[in-house]
Amino acid sequence: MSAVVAEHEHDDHHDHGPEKGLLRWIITTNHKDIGTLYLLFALAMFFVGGTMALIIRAELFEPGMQFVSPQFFNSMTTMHALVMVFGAVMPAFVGFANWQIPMMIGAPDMALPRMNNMSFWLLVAGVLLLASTLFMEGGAPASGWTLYPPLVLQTGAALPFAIFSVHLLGISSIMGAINIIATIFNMRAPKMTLMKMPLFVWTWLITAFLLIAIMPVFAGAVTMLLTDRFFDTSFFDAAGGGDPVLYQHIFWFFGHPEVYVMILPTFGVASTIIPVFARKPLFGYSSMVYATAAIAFLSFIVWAHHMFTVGMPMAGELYFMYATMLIAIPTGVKIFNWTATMWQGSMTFETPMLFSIAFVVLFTLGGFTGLMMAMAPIDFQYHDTYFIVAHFHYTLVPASIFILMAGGYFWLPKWTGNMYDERLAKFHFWLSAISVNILFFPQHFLGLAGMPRRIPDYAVQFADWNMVSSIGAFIFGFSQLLFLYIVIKTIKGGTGEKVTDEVWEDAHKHGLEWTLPSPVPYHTFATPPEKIPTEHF
Amino acid sequence: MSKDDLEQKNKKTVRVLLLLVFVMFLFAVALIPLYDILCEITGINGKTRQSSADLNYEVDLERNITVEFITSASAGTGLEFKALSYAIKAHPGEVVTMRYRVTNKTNKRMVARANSSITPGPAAGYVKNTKCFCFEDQVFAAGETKHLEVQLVVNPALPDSYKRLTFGLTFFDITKNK
Repeated sequence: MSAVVAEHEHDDHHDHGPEKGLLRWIITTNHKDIGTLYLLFALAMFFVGGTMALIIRAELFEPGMQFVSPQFFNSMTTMHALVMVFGAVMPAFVGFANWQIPMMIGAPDMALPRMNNMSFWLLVAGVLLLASTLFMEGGAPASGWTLYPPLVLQTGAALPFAIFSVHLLGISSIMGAINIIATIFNMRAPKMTLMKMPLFVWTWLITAFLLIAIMPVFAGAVTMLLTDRFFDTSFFDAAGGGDPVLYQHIFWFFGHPEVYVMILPTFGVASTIIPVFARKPLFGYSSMVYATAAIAFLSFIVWAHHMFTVGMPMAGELYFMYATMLIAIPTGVKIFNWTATMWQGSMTFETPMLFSIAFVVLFTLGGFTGLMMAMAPIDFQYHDTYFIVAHFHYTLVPASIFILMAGGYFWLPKWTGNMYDERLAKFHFWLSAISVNILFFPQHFLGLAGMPRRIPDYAVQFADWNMVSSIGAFIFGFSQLLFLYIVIKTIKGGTGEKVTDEVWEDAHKHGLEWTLPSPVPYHTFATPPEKIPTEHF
Repeated sequence: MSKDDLEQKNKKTVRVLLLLVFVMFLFAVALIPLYDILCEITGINGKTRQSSADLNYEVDLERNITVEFITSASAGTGLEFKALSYAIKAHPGEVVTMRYRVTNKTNKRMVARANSSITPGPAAGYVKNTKCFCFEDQVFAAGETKHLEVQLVVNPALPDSYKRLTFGLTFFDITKNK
């Protein structure tokens, strides 16, 4: 494939701008265009997944069945998760990676530009295929995003389509990951040694390796589901000597690193934003790198903490309990480093910084509930209740999603050359930060009181907090329309104020991308930069 | 670095990474036999050992254990499946025999297979299943009732902490696979 790329002489290509018209977006191999495509697609899917979440919260507003059938409700919880994970959060970070990694390391483009285009369009195909299952006989998958057998094997016509869509999404992620690794390994500016790379690049490098290691495992697991259903194998079918618990092991061997695929780039963006607005170098750069690597390694050896209640032997419970608790150490290193970066800094509180600070606080909260559930004996109470729902939403919404928004506000002025409306953006921040807590905090109480997850109806004693949570959900959901408005307005010209090349005060000390003009030209770093800002990594 | 060099380096990186993808896929497939081996060694999922080997254990008259019998038929099977008694008290080393009544409530011929398990899992290695209708597929005519038998021997080496074992059997309808 790369041989084909070589035949295009890049030298005469540089003088061209983008193609005209719609075709530009379909055939583009430019990392910035593809980054934009990923980000816009992720934003669209964020609203699709969000709508599903609001259907869930509307049904749970009161006890009793109101709007949807139980089957459709379970389809919604399943599809909400799959769309948000594979359609929104992951593609959004790939979008950031496409835009930022070449500019941060001083490369002209990604290493494999055509494959880059293909991985984006495969993603679109995968998500559309997944969405199409909503209209099939028997409805979309309703077994939860974990697709546990034997329940998932009862899915109607949708099952093979959902599984094929997972295959496509996996291939797309693997291609994206290969591209990112090749870019980082082979295309850095001469002076950009590994330990001088911005932390966002580091976290993506490690994330890409995680993706390559886990996606084939997931593909294998769902393929076995497929053969169990259609080809009379019994990998997970007890009638034929298989074991459904085995699926859980394989799934979570994929699933636990998968959740870190969504959080490690989050750490990277936070580590990029906080130093700029604290006007200090990032505290403990190398410890950040090692902590990221440690978290990635640990993610492979803790999977069965998702399965404490399946009847593991005591030794297994203890091992997975202690191994899981270990993760708190490198994560703690990161939290303390961000705090130390802010300590005695000349902080200002522009919107990206506000979102980042909220991330540090609320992600810590989500981390603590994780530590609670790491304790095997206590987990028996929390397992499959709203407590786990509250936990992982705290680590995804006010963490990954908040940081995606922070990154959006942080880089959009650089990319477009237009400033966003700071007043509206702050309003968006406060609405989101308050409503996200109204939405998810009460779910801790519901879980501790014993409300199970993935149910459309519940006992009346859970009514009050569910109502509070649903109110928070609707405020949070509609606040995001404001985000959409701000983004569109910024792309179309923003406040009219022209931004400087470095956009944020002294940002050029923090990264190569801020030494480029604003808006960023279509082609950058055709020749690698001589100097790199070193003191601020 | 010249374009060709970069080209070469990228190709090499892609090859190595694709190999890694392939290895991880093989790993996922290898997990199936690995899991079975691991379960057999540790008794994690309570699988009993089939055995026709010499089981002349010395009966430990000093100790009593209770073996409970639970039955289930997987959803929609249409089988009525009952053990004739709930539990048996026995000495380790003694042959425990339990009889079951199984009725095919449907008006169709059915091929069914039962799977056994021992709880708690770590004790499974000490339970020898000397006779069980779960060793082969059972064929039921429409409405037929069968009386079936199971024999177990508990190895007297079973640690003292186990006073109660549960022997579970689950029937699955496998007519359409046959």
